[in-house]
Amino acid sequence: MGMDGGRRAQEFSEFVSARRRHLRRFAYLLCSDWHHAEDLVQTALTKLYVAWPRIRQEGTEEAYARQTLLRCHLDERRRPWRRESVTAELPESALPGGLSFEDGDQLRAAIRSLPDRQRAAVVLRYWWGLSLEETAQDLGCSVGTIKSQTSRAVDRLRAALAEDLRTG
Amino acid sequence: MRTMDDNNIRAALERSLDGEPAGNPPMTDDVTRGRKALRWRRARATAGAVCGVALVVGAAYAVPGVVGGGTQASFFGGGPATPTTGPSSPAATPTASPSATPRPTTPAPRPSVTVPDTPKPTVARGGSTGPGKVDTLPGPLPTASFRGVVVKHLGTPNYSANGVSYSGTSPDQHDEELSWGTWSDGDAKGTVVVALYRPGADLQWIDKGPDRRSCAVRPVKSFVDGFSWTSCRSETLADGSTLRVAEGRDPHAAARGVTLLRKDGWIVSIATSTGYFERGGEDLSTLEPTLAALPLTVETMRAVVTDPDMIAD
Repeated sequence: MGMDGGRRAQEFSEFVSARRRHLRRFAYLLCSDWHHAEDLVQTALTKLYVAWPRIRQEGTEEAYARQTLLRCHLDERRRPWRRESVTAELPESALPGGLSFEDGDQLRAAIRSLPDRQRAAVVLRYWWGLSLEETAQDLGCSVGTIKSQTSRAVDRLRAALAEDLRTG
Repeated sequence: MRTMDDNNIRAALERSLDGEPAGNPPMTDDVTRGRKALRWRRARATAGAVCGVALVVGAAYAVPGVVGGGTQASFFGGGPATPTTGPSSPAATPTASPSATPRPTTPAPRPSVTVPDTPKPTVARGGSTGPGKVDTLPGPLPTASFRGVVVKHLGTPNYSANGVSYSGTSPDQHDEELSWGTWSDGDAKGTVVVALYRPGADLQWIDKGPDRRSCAVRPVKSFVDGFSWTSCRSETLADGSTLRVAEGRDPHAAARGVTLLRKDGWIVSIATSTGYFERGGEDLSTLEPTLAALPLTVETMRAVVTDPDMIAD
């Protein structure tokens, strides 16, 4: 039985108004680009609208949106034209000198230095607050893999920021 | 000393979100995009369903035997009629199929037309004869560009055409013409199939020989298991064409075929088998493939395929 179009739009709008900002922040943590984050959110929400009756019935709107967004991001990163990007600065060389621990640019650089799946694991685990099992499900891998990825990611972040602490 | 432990990772991630643009795009934009995607999805689903139905229907006509009127079913099932009227085994005897009323249709992969079979097959025209009797009813080939040639070499007193099948890219140009019929002369009796292919045509009825090269047109119904050309020798003619002379068999019938592969790409093939005649009401297990019982000799068949009038283009 299909859902009435007006009802679908109304329910969908309610969900979007409540969670859109959260989704965009999540997307930004994954890609470190607000414009691209907006694109990811729009793509995820479009897919969510199409699947809305089923997703709504299952009560998994947020999980569906999150997973769709995450897959969109990882899929795009796998595409060849996403693998290389032109930048005026040397990437991931080091944290800029003179920045404090709290400096957003410094932290963004540290996060940006993480591989995609490590970064996704950290964001899902520590920012979204998912369990190891939920994170593993979102990323389509085992719990052990999530453990090792988050551990490596945290180690890298810790090392990068420790360097800053020494210089700062 | 501050360190980044697990407890403050979330706070650090939150801090990295500084500089977030204010505001969100209008909510209606998300709904509009969703509706548009939904329309596209439904349109694709509809188109997919239509394509699926078309594929199923197309496949049904393309796969032999799936549709009763398919070319192969009509070609061989309805084609080589037997002069016998006794019961027969449907599993192995094409005579058990409604052979008296061939349904000329054509294969689906290529647009094709089929010319109705007039006159009717031997049995339908009252030429009922028992095993071993001679079918003497005149039966010109229903059509086909090579009709005159085949009749000239086989002779209407002994030859009865049962059907013809065309296929090609348009009704005006046939890439393939097939004619099948029965031939009998005393104890020699069998099925005769003649095929003509334009250059580049799909040789769907030409079976390969042991050397994996095109050998001769198949003289038995497609579902007869175990048929193959067991030998297929080649000789080069004076004009550079290649002649293939084949012998083959299935468990209960012998076959012989001759094929001319012209230098210009045209292919003419004729084949005969004792199969259909010998199976009417008989115990198949007692039949033995006997080349000597074949109604047409290599010389006769060779004369057919090399006749210059065979290709009327």
